[in-house]
Amino acid sequence: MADSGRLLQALRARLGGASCLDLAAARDLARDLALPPLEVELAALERGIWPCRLLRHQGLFSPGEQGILLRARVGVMGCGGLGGLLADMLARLGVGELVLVDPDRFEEHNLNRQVHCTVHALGRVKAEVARDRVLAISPWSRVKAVTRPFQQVPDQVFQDLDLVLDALDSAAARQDLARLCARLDLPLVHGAVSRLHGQAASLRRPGPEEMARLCPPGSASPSAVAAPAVHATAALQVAMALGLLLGGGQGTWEALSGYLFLDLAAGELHGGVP
Amino acid sequence: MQVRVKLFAGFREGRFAARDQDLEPGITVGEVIRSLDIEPDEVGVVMVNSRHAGPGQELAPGDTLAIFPVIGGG
Repeated sequence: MADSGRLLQALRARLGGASCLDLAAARDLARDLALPPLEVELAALERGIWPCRLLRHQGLFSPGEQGILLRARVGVMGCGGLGGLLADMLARLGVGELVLVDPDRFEEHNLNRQVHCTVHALGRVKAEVARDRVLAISPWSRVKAVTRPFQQVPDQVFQDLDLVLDALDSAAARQDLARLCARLDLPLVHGAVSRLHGQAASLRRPGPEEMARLCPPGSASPSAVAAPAVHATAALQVAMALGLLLGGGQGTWEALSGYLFLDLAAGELHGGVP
Repeated sequence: MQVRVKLFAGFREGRFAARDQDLEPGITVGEVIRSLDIEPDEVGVVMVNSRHAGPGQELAPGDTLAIFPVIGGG
């Protein structure tokens, strides 16, 4: 870490009269100070200077909270409907490290709801497209695209994560994920969609039993799903993720726990306790 | 005994959204679901008084039973 005095001097000099630290300034300072750009942004935030790319968070998050997000390490299991949107939102929130997992490639039937699926992306590996998109939104984030099923990935890839988000599409895979999170003591935000409905649940201590209550193994799985349900459910999951990352036992974010069921057709949102 | 039964999304079709039902004391969650002609494998989250409940749980007077359809896509 560069010495504090030199860093502050360099920051002030580069900023001039600017109200925020833009991408070019962060890049220049990173080069001059031999630091990752993310560290430059963290140092700026500690001194009350916001990166321009996150300026609209000022007044919503404290600099400390934004710093937590910049240092956060989040896994997204699935890069299709929910997963693509989760990755997008986490990038826009400034999450510093993402592990994006999906072995599949985009196909035409993904076009109705998977945000990274365009006609140009057909045939491309979902996790890699998601990684490229995240880096185009949050260039200083460290992003790893894992293109094998998460069940085949060694634990060490996930063990340093702060949080995992469920963007899977089967009860069986969700059971595997719950076991993984239990084994590694990782909090999990479950999400699932169907038709114009969705559900999300925040699990600090996930396990197969908790997951089976949310997504019963062997249950029927309707295959129709529309974009609005995916967007709204992913947003609920990210809100719950903020609760887990920023909650710390106090304040607004704690309310985003438990279970939520969203019915867009009826315009209803229902909750249950954790 | 009086139990409030709440159904969500597709379960409301041909049934109701919320109704106060007069039920036998000691009736279980699973028995109520069957009595509503809901296929067990279409049932997702089930809550009694906003807490997860299994099919074997017995209902008490004044309980609220919420039955959500299975949601599994991603």
